[in-house]
Amino acid sequence: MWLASKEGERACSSCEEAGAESMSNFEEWASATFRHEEINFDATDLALVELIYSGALQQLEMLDHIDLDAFPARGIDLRHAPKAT
Amino acid sequence: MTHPQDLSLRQQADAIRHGDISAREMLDATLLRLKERDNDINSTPVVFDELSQAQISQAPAGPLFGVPITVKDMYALPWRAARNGTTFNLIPASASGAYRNLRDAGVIVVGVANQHELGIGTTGVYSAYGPTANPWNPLHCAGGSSGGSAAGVAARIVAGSLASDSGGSTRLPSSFCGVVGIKLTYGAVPYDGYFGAATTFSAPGIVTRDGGDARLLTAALLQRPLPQQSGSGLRVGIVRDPFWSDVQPDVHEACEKALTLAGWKVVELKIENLELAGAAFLGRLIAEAGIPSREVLSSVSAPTRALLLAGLLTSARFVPRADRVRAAVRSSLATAFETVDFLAWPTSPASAPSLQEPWVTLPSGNMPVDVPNVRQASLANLTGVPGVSIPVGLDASQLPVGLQLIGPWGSEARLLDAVEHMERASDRRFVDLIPPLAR
Repeated sequence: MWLASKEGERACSSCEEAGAESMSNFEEWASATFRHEEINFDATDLALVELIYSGALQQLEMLDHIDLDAFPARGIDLRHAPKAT
Repeated sequence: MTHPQDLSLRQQADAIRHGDISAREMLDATLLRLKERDNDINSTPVVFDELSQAQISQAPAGPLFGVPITVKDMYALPWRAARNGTTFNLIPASASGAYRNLRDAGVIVVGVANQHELGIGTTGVYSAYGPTANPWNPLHCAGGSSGGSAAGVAARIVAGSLASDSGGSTRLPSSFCGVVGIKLTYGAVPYDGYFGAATTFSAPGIVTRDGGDARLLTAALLQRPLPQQSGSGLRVGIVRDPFWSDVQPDVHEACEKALTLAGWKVVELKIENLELAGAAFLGRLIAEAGIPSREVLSSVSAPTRALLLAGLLTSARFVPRADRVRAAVRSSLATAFETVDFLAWPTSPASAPSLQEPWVTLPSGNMPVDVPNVRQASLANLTGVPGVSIPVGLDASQLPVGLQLIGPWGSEARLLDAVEHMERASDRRFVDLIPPLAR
């Protein structure tokens, strides 16, 4: 499996064979990941995925900048929500 | 004589109970209307002609005995697998929890409501059954993912439908089609046989034409009474940015007028950490959505496949941070509900876009409608609270606009009080609007 990170951590050996050692080239990186997962894809898929992925990442990276002390890890039991007023 | 499907859901139940019409006559009239009217909108692509007849003989004498409804493709039925808008049997045929509750109230399931494929989309454009069109203008989207539920109810094909909501999927199409759509509190209904069980965001929803019908059907689904109280004198919290600021002017005006009409006390407030809620929703949802089998993946539309593949690329490092933010936002919301009864803002920032190009232009730019739709809706899913979309009129294009109310956990009865209060305050002029297709 891929360990995706901006630094481009290395993938499994089969993916390395695809020459995708870095995320800096989105097409190579995504293609190698999909091949590893044995997923069929084409150029249209890649173009759409890049558009969606880059948009999502932009929003998600807000989470990289949160102050962890201000957001303590808390157990959430979704079955026990606050009571209705 | 009034067609049975021009009656409200509660009138239908009363008419059958009092013997004014038999359950079989009700069903026959419904099936006929479905065949006559659904070609233009494709709300109910799977119809149970014979099976619905058989249901009548087995239906218990509950409060909804003989009342026909549709059920979204996310729920397994005893005779049909849940396909989630695909061609695949994704959950084997069984009596899903939500179905059991409604069955016990006596409803008759006449068909499967169309939906956006895999529930991943707010337009209803992509579905194995074909797109769902809007009864107000068949060139426009019905919304999604529960578009078939909303379109079928708006077109008066059925008076009620079982929907679901993982990121606005009940509220958004209800807004687009001018009907009432309520998302229930997370976990309030058994999740077995329900595709939404795969995430911590999803909850069943109910679509009807007004608040009284929603109360009756929601009570059946929750299997608990939802006592009616006055909906006047409520305190409503407004969060201006972005929920009111980044919407189309017509939508803003209709929602603001409706709030004024209701006479509720409106308070502007700030919800701590709200600016991170969208990222937390996205981070968690991507992880939970996972990726379907290769067969399913290769069968879905290119945009849906791209959404799923983008998820596959997304780092898991966001998940624990999303959870921390989620807990904080839940706490902020609980604090807000100490001072207001509900939060209110437009359900969707724009009326239904065209099927051909489901994009909207907002103050922040031109974009696919899914982006701002999910922004307006997802706080309720992130925190598990119930929410409702109330029709509040039409925009300049003669397409419906919806006002969203979000309430504390378990506040379904109060939300419906608010819906019914709005109906009284407006002399029912919003909920009684009839789309051209149904005139």
